[in-house]
Amino acid sequence: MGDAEKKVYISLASVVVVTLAYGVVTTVINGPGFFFSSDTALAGKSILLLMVACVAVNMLLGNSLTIFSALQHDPRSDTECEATLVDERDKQIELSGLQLSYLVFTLGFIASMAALWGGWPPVAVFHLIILSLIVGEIASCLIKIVKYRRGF
Amino acid sequence: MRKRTLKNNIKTLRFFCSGMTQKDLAEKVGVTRQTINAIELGKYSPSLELAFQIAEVFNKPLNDVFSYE
Repeated sequence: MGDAEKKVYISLASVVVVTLAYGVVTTVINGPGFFFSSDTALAGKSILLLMVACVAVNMLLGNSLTIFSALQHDPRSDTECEATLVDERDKQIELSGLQLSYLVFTLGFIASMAALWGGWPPVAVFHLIILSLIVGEIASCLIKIVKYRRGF
Repeated sequence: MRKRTLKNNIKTLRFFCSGMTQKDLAEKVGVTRQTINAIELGKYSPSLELAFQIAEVFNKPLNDVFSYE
């Protein structure tokens, strides 16, 4: 398994873990009714914390992988460390993942606007937008894993 | 219409090139070993530039390394 592929697994794991943690913590602290409440300030704070946590966990795990790969790399060899090498196949797979995540996010955003039009509270719509981002990221990771495993 | 795919002789050429490993070839053309493996297994079709670089490593014309069947 290449390092680019390992990064996809790390990204998937961090998104799933942070999202589940957010769902559980928010439900425990604010109660299940929070997602349909009208407390936009609390929702804004929670979503901001979710985004920061997601970026922090992803960076932490990604950097740990890079350090681990660099430690495994033989310093006497004059070849480039594979952790830093991104080739044309990695770029193509990254691009197709990005395309899918944009598509999922766009559909989620349209659904959110329809929900807002339908009278959903803004907090629920915010969460729907964030959910579409998360689902887009998960779909992107899954398509990348499939492309790395099965080829294209 | 019959579906045509890109075939290659990289594995054979590596064998005849004093047992060159996938890693050696990958380093020569500047890609990862996983990409060479994917090309050999037919899971990935390389760009024209990479295909020419691989052919150049074996000192063969492109047709001897890749074929479209």
